[in-house]
Amino acid sequence: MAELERKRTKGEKVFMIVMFAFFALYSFVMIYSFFYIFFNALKTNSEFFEHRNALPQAWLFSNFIDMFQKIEYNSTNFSGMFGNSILLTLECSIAAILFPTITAYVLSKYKFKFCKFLYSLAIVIQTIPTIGSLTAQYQLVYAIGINDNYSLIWLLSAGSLTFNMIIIYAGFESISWTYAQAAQMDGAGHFRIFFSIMLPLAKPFIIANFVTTFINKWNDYMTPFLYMDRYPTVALGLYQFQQKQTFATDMPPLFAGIVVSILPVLILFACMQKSIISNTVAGGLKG
Amino acid sequence: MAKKSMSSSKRSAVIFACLMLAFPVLYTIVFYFGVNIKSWINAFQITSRGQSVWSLVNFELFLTDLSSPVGEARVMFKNTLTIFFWSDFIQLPLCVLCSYVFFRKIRGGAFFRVMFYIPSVISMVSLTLIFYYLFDVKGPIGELLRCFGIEFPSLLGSSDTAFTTIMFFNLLSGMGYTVILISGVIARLPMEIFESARLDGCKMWRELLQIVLPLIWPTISTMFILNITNSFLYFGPVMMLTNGGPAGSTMTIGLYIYSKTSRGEYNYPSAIGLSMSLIILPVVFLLKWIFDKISSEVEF
Repeated sequence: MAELERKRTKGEKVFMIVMFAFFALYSFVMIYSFFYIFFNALKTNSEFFEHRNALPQAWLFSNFIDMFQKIEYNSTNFSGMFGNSILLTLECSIAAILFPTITAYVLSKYKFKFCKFLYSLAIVIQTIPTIGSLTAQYQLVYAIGINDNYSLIWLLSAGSLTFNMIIIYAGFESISWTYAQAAQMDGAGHFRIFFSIMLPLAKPFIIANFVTTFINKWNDYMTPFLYMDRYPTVALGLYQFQQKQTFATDMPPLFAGIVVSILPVLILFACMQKSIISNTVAGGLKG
Repeated sequence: MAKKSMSSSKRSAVIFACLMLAFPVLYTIVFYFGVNIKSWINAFQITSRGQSVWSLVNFELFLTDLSSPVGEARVMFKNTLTIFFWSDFIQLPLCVLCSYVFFRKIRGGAFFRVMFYIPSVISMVSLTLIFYYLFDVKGPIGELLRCFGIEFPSLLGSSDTAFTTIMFFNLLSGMGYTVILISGVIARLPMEIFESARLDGCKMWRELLQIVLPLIWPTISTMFILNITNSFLYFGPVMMLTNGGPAGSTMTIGLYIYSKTSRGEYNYPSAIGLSMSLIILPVVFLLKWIFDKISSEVEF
């Protein structure tokens, strides 16, 4: 195959070079943007105004400490927002994995007619467009009192006939039932089989899915914007802080905030890279 | 004989399944069916001072607004269609091309893969803020162009360029995830096809158009259809970059529904949403049917 790769025509070589340049430019923009934000976080406010695009003069690493107090919305400072983000993300990602996993397991290994119906229903729900339902959801949330309530907000992520379920279902389908059969002969009950045999076997794809879900929930802005205004997360807080800065009194802390909000995800991504990318790739089957 | 699943005859199996599915089923009834039924009710009512009456006024209003050349609805609708155009006819083909390039083992592929994936793990708020400052008049691009004597306009501040700039943002931030997904699909295709084709002297463009594309068609067509629905739900970047401005020129249907909802108006946005859903539904089914017909001719 390698020789076949090398026998490219001139036109093909030019094409690959052009694409390489395009990819390189894209990567350059990414890396430049990160450093642009990082360097601007190190400036004083007047420095930011005068020399926005230059390297920082005063390398104010203290900005990274000050911003925890300076970035503020709804009497929550940045550390508060960070805490809120972690709480919200953990709650919602656990809910978004737990219920689909249980459902996917039952639908995959207990092939009653009803279960097959539920699976088809899940697929139909994914396909049918429901555009105005945000309004009704909003009313429901406020009616039940899920809003501004960290003990209930996970309910919004507790759906079971979701895309996550479809992916985990595919995972369970590929796990052979023979292990459970053997356990059954030894007298193991349904719960025992699920927790002691099937779940451990499912660990790889469930964990990969959890990491992706965690990142998505961390970056979710809709739920905090709509329902958690009183206890803002990092996303909501940064956005509102920037809105307040129309007459730009203090910009560098905003940039420090952006860097700090991106860093955890980048680090998590760097560690779990293979797992995340392979989970996306697996999703392609159903995508 | 190896079984693929639990035997359906056992009573305990039934009890277990019902127990585990109780909450999911209840949840779906409330949070999916309940919400959508309420959505329909909202659309066919108008509310004033807490009292709701049945009425078709919302739909009449929407139709009038759509037919008026200066109506908000027309701009919203046009912008939403623009989103659809960009995501299905510019972004999707570009993503397929980039995925193919990864498949043909471009130099530095592993590094670029990471670069492409990164925007999808960074929050939309951060991405829009970074984009905003990067493309600001006083930003680095502006300064670079001014060195050459080119004047850099305020892209997001002018109603002519604002929405296209937002579309460009979408392209930059949205391509990555799709490229990785599609390149995964391509990687799973059987290599024998490519080997024999290349031995027969198949050129790249032919390989892409006549082999890869038909084989990944199910994935691509599903994305194409999902993008239609997503165009109507789209509001995040618009809200954060321009919030519908300048002068309402970047308003989208998704943003309109969101802003009216957070202001406590429930009826009109529900009616708009319902109308859009009813219009898209047959389109989606028709497209699905057409695409399935095309892909059923491809088997491997």
